[in-house]
Amino acid sequence: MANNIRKIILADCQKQELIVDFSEGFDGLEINVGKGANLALNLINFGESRNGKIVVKVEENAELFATMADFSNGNSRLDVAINLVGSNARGTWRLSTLASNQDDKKYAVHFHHLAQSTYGLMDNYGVARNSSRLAFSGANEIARGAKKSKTKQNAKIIVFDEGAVAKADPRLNIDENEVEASHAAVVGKLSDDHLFYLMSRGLNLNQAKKLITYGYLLPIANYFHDEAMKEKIAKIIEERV
Amino acid sequence: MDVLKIVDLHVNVEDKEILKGVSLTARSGETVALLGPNGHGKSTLLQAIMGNPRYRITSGQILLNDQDVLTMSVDERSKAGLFLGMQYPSEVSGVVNADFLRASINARRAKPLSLFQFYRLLDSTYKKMGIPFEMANRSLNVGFSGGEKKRNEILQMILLEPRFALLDEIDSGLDIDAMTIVASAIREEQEKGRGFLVVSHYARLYNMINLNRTIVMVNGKIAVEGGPEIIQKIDTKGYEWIKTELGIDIEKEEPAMSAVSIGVCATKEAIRDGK
Repeated sequence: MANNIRKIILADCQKQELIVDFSEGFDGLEINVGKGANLALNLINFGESRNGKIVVKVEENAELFATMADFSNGNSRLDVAINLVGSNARGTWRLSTLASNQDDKKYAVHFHHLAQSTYGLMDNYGVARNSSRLAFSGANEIARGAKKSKTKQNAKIIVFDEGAVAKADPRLNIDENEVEASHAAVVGKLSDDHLFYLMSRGLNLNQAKKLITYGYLLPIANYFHDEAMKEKIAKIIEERV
Repeated sequence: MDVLKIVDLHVNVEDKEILKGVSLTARSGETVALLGPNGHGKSTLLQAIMGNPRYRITSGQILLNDQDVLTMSVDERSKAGLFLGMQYPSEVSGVVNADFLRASINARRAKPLSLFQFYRLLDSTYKKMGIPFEMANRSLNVGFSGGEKKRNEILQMILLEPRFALLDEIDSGLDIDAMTIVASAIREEQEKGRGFLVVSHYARLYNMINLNRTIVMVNGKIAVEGGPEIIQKIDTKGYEWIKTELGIDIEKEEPAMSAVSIGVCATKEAIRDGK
C-alpha cells in the first residue's frame, strides 16, 4: 500500500503491480510508464471522496492497466489523462463507482492517442442512489499521425432511485483516417423486466435490486490482483448496496 | 388439493383491453393446454397471474386456495406457489446463476439450505436438464441460446417446487433432444401432483406430456374447451374452423410498434427499462 504518491516512474521494460489507496488522502498522481514497461494500477477509495488529477504517459510498447473501485462518500472530481505517446502504447481504464446520499461525483477521463498503433479502452460503470449526482465525461482523441490506433469507450450508469441524477457524456475526436473508434453510453433505471423476473422467483424488490446492483458493480474486483483486496471490494459493495 | 381460480378477469396492456372476461379453474395434478392465435391473450393471462406490472387488472379475481392473489406482490405470489416459465427470459448481466438460484430457493425456506445441500441439489438438477454445470457460474441467461434459456426456466421450476407452473411457449427454441429433456422433466413434475397451465402453438410438446384439458383463447376470451382432439385439429387445420364452426370472428393482431431509438451514440438519458 502506498499513500500520497505524487510520482511513479516505471523504467523501461519493468513490470509492476501497484495499489493506491485514496482513503488516507490524495493530491494527484503523475505516472510515466517507460518503453516496454507494464503497470497494473489498482486504485481504491472506501473512505472520503477526494478530488484529484491523474496524468499518465505511456511510452512505446508499454502498457497501463488501471482499475478503480471508488466506493467513497462525499463530493469529488477526478480528472484522468492517459497519454499514449509511443507507438504500440496501450492503455486501459476501468471504473466502478457508487454515489449515495447527497454525493456529487464527477469523473473526466481523457485518452490521447499521439502515436501509431496505440490502443485505448475506457469502461466507466456507476450506480447513482438516493439523491446523489454522478457524471461521467469521457474523451478519446486520436491525433493526426496516430494511424492504426484503436479507441473505445463505454459508460453505463444505473439510476437507482427517483431522486438521483446521472449524466454520461462521451466524446470522440478523431483527426486521422486509418483508425477504429467507438463509444457507447447508457443511463437508465433498473430494468422493470429484470426486476419482475427476479421477483417472480421469490426475491422481494429490495433483494432483487440488491442482487442486480451487486452484480453490476462487482466485476471490477476481477481486475484487482490482490485476493484480499478482491474480498474487501465484494464486502464493501455488499454493505453499501 | 390446490386450486387456482380465475374469475371474469379483464386485463389491459397500456390502454388496450387484452383479456375480456376469462374464467378458469386449474387444480393440482391437472394440466391444462392453452392455445390460441398470437395476440389473443394467452401470455397476458399468465403474466397477469404472476403479477407483471405491465399488465393491469381492471376487474375480476385470481384466487389461489381462496387467497386473493391480486393483493400479493410478485415475490409473494412466487412464495405462495406460482411459477411462470417465461417465453423470453431476461438476460441479467452480473447476476450469477448460482447466486440467483440460491437466493430464490432460500426466499421460500424458513431455514436456508446449506451450501453443500444447495450444490448437491444444483448439480443433480443441472444433470437432469442436460445443462453443463459451469453455466451455474455464468451471468443469468447472458449469452445463452434460446434453447438454453428455456431449459434454465425448467431448471428453476424444478428447484422452486411450485404448486402451479405456468409455462409460456417453453418449447420454442428447443431442438428435439432438448424438447425430450424438457417434456420428461415436466412429466416428472406432473407426477408430483403439481398443476400446469401450458401455452404452446404446437402439438409436439403436448403429445409428450400428460394433458387433462384443452382451452382455446380467441379475442381475449375462452372460445373452446375440450380434450386433446382440439390440439390435433389446430395442428392440422389452424384456427379458421373456429370462425366457420363457432361463428367467432378472429380479430387480426395489430402490427407491433417498432422500437424507437433515441439517438445513436450520443448521450442517452433515462432510457426506459435501462436497455
